[in-house]
Amino acid sequence: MVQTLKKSQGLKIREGNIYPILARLQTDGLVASYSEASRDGPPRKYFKLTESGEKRLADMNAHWDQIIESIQNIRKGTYK
Amino acid sequence: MTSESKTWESLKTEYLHQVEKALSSIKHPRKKEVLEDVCSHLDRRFAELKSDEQTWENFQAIITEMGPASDYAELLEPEAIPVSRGASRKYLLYAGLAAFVIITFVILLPMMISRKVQIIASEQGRIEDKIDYPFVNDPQVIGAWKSVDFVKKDNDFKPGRKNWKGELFLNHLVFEEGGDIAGGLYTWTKGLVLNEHSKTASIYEIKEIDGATYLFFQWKSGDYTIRHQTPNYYVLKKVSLESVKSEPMLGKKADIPSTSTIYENGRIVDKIDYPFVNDPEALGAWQSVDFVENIEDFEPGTKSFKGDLFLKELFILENGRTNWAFTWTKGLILHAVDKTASKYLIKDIDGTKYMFFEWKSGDYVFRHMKPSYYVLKKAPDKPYVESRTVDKIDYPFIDDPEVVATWKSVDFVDTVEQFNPDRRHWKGSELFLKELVFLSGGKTTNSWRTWTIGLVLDSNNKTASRYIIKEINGSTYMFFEWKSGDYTIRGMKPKYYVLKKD
Repeated sequence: MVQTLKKSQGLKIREGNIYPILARLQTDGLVASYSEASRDGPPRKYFKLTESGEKRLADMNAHWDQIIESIQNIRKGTYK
Repeated sequence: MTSESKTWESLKTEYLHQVEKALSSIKHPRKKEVLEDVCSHLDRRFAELKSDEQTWENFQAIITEMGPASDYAELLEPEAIPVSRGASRKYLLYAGLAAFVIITFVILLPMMISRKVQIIASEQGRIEDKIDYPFVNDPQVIGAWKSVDFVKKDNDFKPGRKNWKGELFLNHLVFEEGGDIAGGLYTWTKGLVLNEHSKTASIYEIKEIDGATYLFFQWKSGDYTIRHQTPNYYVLKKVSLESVKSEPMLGKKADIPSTSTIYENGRIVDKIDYPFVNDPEALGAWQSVDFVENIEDFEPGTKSFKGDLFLKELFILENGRTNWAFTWTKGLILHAVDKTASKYLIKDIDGTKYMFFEWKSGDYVFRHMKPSYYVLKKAPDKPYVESRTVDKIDYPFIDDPEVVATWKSVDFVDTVEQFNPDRRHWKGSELFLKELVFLSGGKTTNSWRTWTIGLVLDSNNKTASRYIIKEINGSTYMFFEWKSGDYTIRGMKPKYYVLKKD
């Protein structure tokens, strides 16, 4: 997950950053975690969105889309 | 614990200590959990390093990539940090959540559920399957299977009607007890045939059709690993071992010279003790242009071989020397370690000189296949400049009481992970390096070979070879980096001798 995030241009993230972020999301009830045994080493921890996490994500995506649209409008000079 | 592990443990402990200290300034209920997650993450990153990547520089890079220890507290309790930084962190938080969902649900989950065989790596577009499966027996598969067809889908096969109109490249498979497949190219575990060279795991399935037993074997050639096409299936029928004994597992049968010997383990050893006879026409630089099954298949200006050519160039030097581990005499290129004598033929085609060099790989030596040919074009203007890799060897002596002993060679492997004490990887008749005797004070029984913790120093060849000591199944093994001319001259990655503590 971190490797993929690191490839995203403009998104500066350190590998360790993901854990406090996920811990906060868990505390806020947006993400749940569970562990599973791994053949390659210590048990692996998996994360998934809770129902309220999915709702929050949808809200945030909508908000993000709105911001992008507003910025685009400003750049194109639609708003005077 | 190896010296590398010790170095890693101290770096990891120090970093975790810094994170713990930073987290002590906040009161978040999950701070202990974050610390545990970071610890697991570091353990995993270390476990992912190959043995030759276990260097201080790489350990530092892992720690640096984790980020400053202070980040953890700031990200866990952003309320506690100044507003100007909080704004960018908040953005990071949202972007992290969005990316997390996209990656997990859109990319990772569909990948995980769509494949039965786990793909673990894809470097430069090449698929590498997971191949480190434990052995699970399957009594039904043990025995000889002879190819009868090659089909796109397993249900395309109809007994008595051959779909595939050409010659079948795979002639047979002989599944042996314990997970080996005769020929040394493949191993097996229940339901899978594994190829550690091409890093493929092919599914096999046994079916009864019209009273006969067939094995459907997924064929993972370059069409799968490089061109990402869906694998076809070889269909093989159960036969007696005797009926396949005289043919090679793959391809056409090699014409084995009468001067060669075939050992009991199936290895062909060519006669290589020929006197040197000069061949002025062969002298000079030759650059690979193709790799063909037969000499007559070659067409100048067209490269029929689709992969990367392993042998890039060959310098035929005076007095039987070459730039490789080969020697030569008129008409033959000899390999003293592989014990192969390969014919070469020089042809003039459209005014250009080409050399056809019989390539005797393991396919010939172990699997008795007819060798293919490297086609090399004369490069008259290319001068031979010998360059050597020279390691730093002036290290101070640091004692390692664990290494002082006699170590006997038991195997020779490409990577440390490849070693399996129950299955020898090296299929040759004998190992070149028989033993290493480490004496106290950094000495060995060879005056030119000394040691310090983690390294064996060779003052003749100017090489520093790493050694790694591991406990495996109650025995102590040393993995010793073998820095031959392949490393010093040809720049190849060193392989490892595996030695057992005597």
